Amino acid sequence: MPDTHHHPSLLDLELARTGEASAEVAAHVRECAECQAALQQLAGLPEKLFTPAAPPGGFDRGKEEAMFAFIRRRAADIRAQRSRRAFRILPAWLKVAAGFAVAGVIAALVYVTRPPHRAESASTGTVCAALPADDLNRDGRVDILDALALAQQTQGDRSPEVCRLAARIVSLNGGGAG
Amino acid sequence: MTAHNTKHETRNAKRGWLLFGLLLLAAVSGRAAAAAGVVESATPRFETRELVVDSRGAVGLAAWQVELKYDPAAVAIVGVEGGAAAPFGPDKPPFYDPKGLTAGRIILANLTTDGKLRTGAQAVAKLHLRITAPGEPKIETKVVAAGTAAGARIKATAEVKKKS
Repeated sequence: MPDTHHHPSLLDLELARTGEASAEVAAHVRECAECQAALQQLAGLPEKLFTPAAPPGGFDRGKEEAMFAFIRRRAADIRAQRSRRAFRILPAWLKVAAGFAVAGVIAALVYVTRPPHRAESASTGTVCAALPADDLNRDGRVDILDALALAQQTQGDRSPEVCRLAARIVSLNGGGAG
Repeated sequence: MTAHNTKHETRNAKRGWLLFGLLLLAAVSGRAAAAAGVVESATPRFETRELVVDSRGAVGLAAWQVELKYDPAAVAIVGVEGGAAAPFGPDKPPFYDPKGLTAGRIILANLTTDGKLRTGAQAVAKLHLRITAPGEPKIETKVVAAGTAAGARIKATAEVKKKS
């Protein structure tokens, strides 16, 4: 007959729950309804401890998402305002210099990527460079002998075609300097 | 009153001497500067030279191309004419780029389809020079091309020299 007046301590009850209690304590727990009830409470305790608490009444997950979305939008607005303000506080001369720098870069790009000037301008006297197509005698060089070949074809050493080719050949813009 | 006039005259005399001194100083410094200028830059002179191409053989010269290099600080080409006689005579000036007149480098070239060609050395062009350095200007020549009426490439030499 177990001693129902001396209930085991909480530690002994826990040991009884896990099967590690002494035989005397185990026998008491088996016979004592009060200790059985306490043991059941102990058994449910870990589950209660690690179960997240239910949200308070009236909590709406949709409102929470809307609130975070508002905060994100507001933060983005503040960042944009800061960057605009940073440009506004720049000195005027720096803005003008930046504008000139951008224009200079664009002009340089336009100049570098322009098509090569190949036309001959009679008004300015500008003569373009001789072209590989001017190698009429097919000797791998563009020189006065090509103009001579052209002159012999056109029956005239001062025909406009010959003069234009000869002008290209003597041009300092990459003419037939050899 | 008399003392005042004397003081005034003395002051005017001092001003006159000061002005005279300044004028004298300006005149002396101006002459010195002019003299220095004469020493630094020689008086430019205008002379002519002939470009002579020698085809060195019995084959007639029908086309030639010569590159000239010179010091643009010492000499400038102010004109280019044809040579002494046909087929590269005065009526047929050579082709050239006007930029080469003062650039220190110029390419001269000419051709002819005339039947009468000359052999050996011949003056093919006349150069009008503006020389600003003392002594004979140095003009380097390089024959880029020379050919016969048939278009055959031939070896030739070129030089710039005074008309003999």
